[in-house]
Amino acid sequence: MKWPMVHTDTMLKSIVKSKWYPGIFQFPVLAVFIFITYELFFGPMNAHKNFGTALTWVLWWPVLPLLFLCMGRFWCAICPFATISDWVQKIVGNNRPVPRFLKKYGIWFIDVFFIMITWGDHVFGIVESPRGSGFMMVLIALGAITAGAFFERRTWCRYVCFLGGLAGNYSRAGMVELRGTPEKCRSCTVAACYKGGRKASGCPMFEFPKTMDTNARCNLCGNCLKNCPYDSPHISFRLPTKELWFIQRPRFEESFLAVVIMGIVFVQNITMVAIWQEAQTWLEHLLGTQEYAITFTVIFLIAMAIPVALLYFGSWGAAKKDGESVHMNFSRFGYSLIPLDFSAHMAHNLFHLLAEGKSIFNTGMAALGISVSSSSAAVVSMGTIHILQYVLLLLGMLGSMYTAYKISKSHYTAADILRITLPIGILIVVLTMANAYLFTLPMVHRM
Amino acid sequence: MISDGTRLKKVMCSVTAFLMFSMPALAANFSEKPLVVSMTQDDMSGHDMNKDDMSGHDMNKDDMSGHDMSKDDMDEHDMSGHDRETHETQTQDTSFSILSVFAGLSVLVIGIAGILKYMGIRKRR
Repeated sequence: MKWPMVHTDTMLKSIVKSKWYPGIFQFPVLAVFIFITYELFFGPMNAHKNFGTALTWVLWWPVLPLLFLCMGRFWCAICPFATISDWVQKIVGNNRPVPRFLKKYGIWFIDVFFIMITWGDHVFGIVESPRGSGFMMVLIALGAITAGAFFERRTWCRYVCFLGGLAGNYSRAGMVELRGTPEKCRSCTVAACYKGGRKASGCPMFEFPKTMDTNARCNLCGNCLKNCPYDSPHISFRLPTKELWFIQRPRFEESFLAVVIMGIVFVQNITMVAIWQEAQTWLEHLLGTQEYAITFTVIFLIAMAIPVALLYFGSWGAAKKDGESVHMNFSRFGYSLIPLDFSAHMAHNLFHLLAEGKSIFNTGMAALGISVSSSSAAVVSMGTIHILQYVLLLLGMLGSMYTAYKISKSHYTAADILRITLPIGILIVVLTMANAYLFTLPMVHRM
Repeated sequence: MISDGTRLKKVMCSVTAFLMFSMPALAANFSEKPLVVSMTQDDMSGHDMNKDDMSGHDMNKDDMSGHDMSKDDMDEHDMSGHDRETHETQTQDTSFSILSVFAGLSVLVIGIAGILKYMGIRKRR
């Protein structure tokens, strides 16, 4: 089933094919990015009072997963880091081919990069320190500039950027897709979508719409739409999670990323709950050290290992029924965790968005020199936030269960579906309950 | 003659090594720990009040033990105007240093890429 189409022959088509797109979005976003970076470096040192911190961690970061779900990787098309990289590439770009090791292990780089950023955030206090956040911004910008200066297209976005990994993970389950029209692509000998044409360069994400079967990497830049002489590529809306049901060649590293994101959400939740201090003291006594980096690393490793171990265990359970290897089941059913990933991530982010939302206004006013007296940064009550978090978790759980069922259905006979899906279903329920429990505990505000 | 590929590898290795060594130092710069460390007990005893003032008139020793104030409170409220100014200047200097390093690295990367591109164009001609 497809939702009512908004094909390229509609308003969407004219927007994406316009010569102003995506530049019309890139420039304002870049201007905001420059302002945020300035504010992070030269604004108030206290994160609670810094407008850049509020815009980054209370608005942008919490909203980002929702953007990926609703609009695919559109953010990547207008991302300020990529915009700078594109400019550098135009001026001094060497356009060398992507190194083979990046092509082969790129997603593992993303996995490691994501884990390291989360670890670094807690150990160096990136979020709590505006300078730390600024440091992270310029570090990413430098990476994007380097990739743009030496390598072709958007090597950074496709193979290295951890945000790109997150974007790919959620866009895969998202409600927007770009595909070529098979009848038109069949007779095509030009491949302007990939190679580029007079109107625009080739696909910056190394995708070929003719054979594209995932939206995990398409950033909806519209280059293929502009270049195609046959008007083949089209953008349409689809049922969220649908792409996950029919993945023909599951990749272990992509499933691993999905599980890692669940672990990261655990870490974020655990370190924000009020009992974290007590747990830390207990761990300090147990390990005999007061070094935060060590105690946090231990908790971090445990939190990351739990979902991986659970999926491995679930895959082992499924392997008993379907005769596949545990590795294959891990790769295949790892994708079914993406809806739960998204809902747990968004539920966590809702706390920042709704419990700290007013800080955007307060710090913004303060940046303009207007002092606002506000006792609370909350937009709605904690009760309302909790209800929304549980509703999101429930939707995510149902989405994950249904995805696991559909994956089983597309590979196994009707008689085996229930037996194979059951261990994965139990895993999904356990992860949901663990998240739900963490949301019942009082959380510490960032802002 | 060194090929462009080898030269590129060397450049990339140098940039990576520089980043690896400079990152911990830069990361340490935005840590706010030194601020807390700099306020020792001695700093409290004798400039504006003598030791006797601390002994039980308005507050007892426990009141000073930091439980009732967060780190942020220490940053903002307990510093005198002069200290705060000095601290802000130091922080701005740190910010300038971090930005300068990154700007320098970016210029270096762009410069090297530009040279390589120019050499590539010349070679083709």
